[in-house]
Amino acid sequence: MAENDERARIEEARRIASDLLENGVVMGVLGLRRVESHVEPYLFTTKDELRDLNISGRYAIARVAENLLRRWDEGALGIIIRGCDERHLIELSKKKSVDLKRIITIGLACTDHEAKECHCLRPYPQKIDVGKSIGDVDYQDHETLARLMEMDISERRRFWSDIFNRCIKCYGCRNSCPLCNCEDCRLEESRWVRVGEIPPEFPSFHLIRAFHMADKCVGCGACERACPMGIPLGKLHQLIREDMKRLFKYETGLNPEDESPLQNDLEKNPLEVQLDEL
Amino acid sequence: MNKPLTAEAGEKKTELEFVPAIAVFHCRWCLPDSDSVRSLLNEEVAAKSVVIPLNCTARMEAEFAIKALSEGFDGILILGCEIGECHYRTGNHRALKRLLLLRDILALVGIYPERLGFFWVSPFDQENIRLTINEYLDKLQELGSFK
Repeated sequence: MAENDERARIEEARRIASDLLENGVVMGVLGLRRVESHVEPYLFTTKDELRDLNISGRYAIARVAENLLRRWDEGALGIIIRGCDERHLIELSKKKSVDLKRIITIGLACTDHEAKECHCLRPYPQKIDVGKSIGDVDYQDHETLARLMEMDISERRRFWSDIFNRCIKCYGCRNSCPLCNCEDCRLEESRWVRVGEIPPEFPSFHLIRAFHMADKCVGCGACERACPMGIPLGKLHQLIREDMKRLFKYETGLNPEDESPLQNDLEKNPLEVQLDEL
Repeated sequence: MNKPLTAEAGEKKTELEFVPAIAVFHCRWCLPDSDSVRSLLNEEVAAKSVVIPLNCTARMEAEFAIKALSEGFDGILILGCEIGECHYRTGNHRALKRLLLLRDILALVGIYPERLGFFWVSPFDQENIRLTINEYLDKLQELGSFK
């Protein structure tokens, strides 16, 4: 049954993509294709190529779209996206590095299983073309997130300092993130992080990144998948996203017109909490 | 100021011997002089602490606080103008938001959020500033060393 569903999903994606290509509205459709044992991003330009299309892989594809659009002076790009990819594109458009008008999306709603794997709280794009949305997921429904929240503060300290101690400072978390792309990175400056020392000092390395990403992270989990040491960074970021909602009622990747509350004063973005409650 | 009489209170006294090292960042519009800010700390704490003037608390980056913890400080104290009194109108608004968020992030990884103290003070009420700082230091003593 599940296999049939999967086949129906990919047929549907193929059909929409080939329609786009046939009508000539896009220069190509960006998606994933299977190569031997892994998937890679690929720009499909003919109907035949869509044979190799893959929609079950995970890949933060927004950065590829960003590069393609930068290379082409004009023309539109079709792109097969999940909810997280859509949020990436919206965050990139806030930074003016992607023009959403040049993008035609084929939205893919994640399956229940996929959402669980990613600890995703919003496993669907705003426009869904393939699959059926399972709706929002409460973070307490994800066992590990709920467990992290149940820990008391000293348990948490033990948990995170042990786990951060595994870090080999490969910068995979930073490099895999489509939104962590400052030209000069604080994590490379000896003023903030000691050079040539592993594991990095607690809490500098990880908290500097966590704080920088707080008003950008869309919770895609690419950092966590990239981490060779199994540090659950994605879960940390999901919890920080919950904090952003609680403090500022702000969620990244929803509306390209939204501005980060950290950039604005209290009149424009008032606090959602009473100060004396804190 | 009462001397502890019971054994229990006596034990507490040993704990209290811990002297926290803190990094103080203060706005130079409400508190222009770092030396007088230092004089608000008790002598033992002052000897282990650094006091750094900022042009506005908006200059306070999360990195300053995070790095201070990494470097062995037990607390970070930020003193700025009252909301509405900022020389740059809304500098402290931004600082407040950033610090609230940082405090939450510290708590998520198990660092007592009380280690990050930020207070908006009036330069005309030095007594209140002193009380605020003392309360903050008491809390830090209770929490003990960060490392």
